[in-house]
Amino acid sequence: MDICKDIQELILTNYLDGEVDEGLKIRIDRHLSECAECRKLAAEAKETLVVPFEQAPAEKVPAHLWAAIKDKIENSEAPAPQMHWARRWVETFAYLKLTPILAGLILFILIGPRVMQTQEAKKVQASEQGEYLASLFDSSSTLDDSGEDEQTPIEAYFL
Amino acid sequence: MQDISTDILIKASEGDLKAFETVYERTSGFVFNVALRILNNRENAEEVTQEVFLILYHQLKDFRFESSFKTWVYRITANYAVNLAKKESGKLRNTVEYDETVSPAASKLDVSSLEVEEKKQMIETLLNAINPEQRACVVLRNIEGLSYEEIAQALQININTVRSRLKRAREKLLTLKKKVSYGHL
Repeated sequence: MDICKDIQELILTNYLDGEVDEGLKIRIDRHLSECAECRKLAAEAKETLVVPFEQAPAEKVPAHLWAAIKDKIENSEAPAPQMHWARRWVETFAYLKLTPILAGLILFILIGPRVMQTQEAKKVQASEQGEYLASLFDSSSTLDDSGEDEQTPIEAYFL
Repeated sequence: MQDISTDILIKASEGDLKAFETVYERTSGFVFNVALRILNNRENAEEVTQEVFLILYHQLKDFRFESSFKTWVYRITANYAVNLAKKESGKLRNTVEYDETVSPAASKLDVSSLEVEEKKQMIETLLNAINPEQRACVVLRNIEGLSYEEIAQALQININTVRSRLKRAREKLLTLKKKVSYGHL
């Protein structure tokens, strides 16, 4: 049966390894309760493919291995590892006491453009105001290039 | 594997041999055992363990902490062991074709009566029946207890490949078991 083929594939993989969701597990368990052949395979798989490995005794690492590795490291011509990249950055900044500078730099990057924009706007505003005032004086025709010595009515009044 | 703090890993990555010894103490057990199971040869497992730790010592500085350190060590170990196992099996024709020949040790397959040595012998026999890539999947799943996702990451293959390797390996092991059982009768 096709269903048995699918279930048997799952028994040998996801089901055996506990990699099925609860819904699928319930469906497989239900099938196993009804199908002797699949049930037999599930039992056989657990006995042959899981239990022996679970009982596998771990081997002890041979004691001489670390000495051999250490010896190879100490006598290696390869350069010793450099400082970890992340730590290198942190330590460099700490050593050079550059943290305030770094903070200032970040502050400048964040706020600088806005401040500069504001100052520029003020300059433009001042310039525009100057032009406006000049135009007022121009319109009164009391100040022009040709009459530098002439007095304005205000000057004439006070002087 | 016991947990290793980031600080120890960073110190080890900077060449601090004492810190690296701590890394070795906490990881060498599974490195050696994974290598031993994949290679089924003690001498080669020792060679792989040495090489893995030399690689770790020199490459730890590039470890970005984005993935799990454990997965990274499994990856180096499994890759190195599988490559060596392939080389060895090609050289010595070490991998017995169990479809045709059943080793004498396999005839002792009887889980309930096995002592420690017999258990070891049986694990060796079972693992010898499958190819190194299937063996790596079985070892990481059944002995080390890694999930399919972790195995996929360690071996840099997709989950479906993990599943299909396990399925083929297990079908082969079940066939072997049946042959042995029938041979016993």
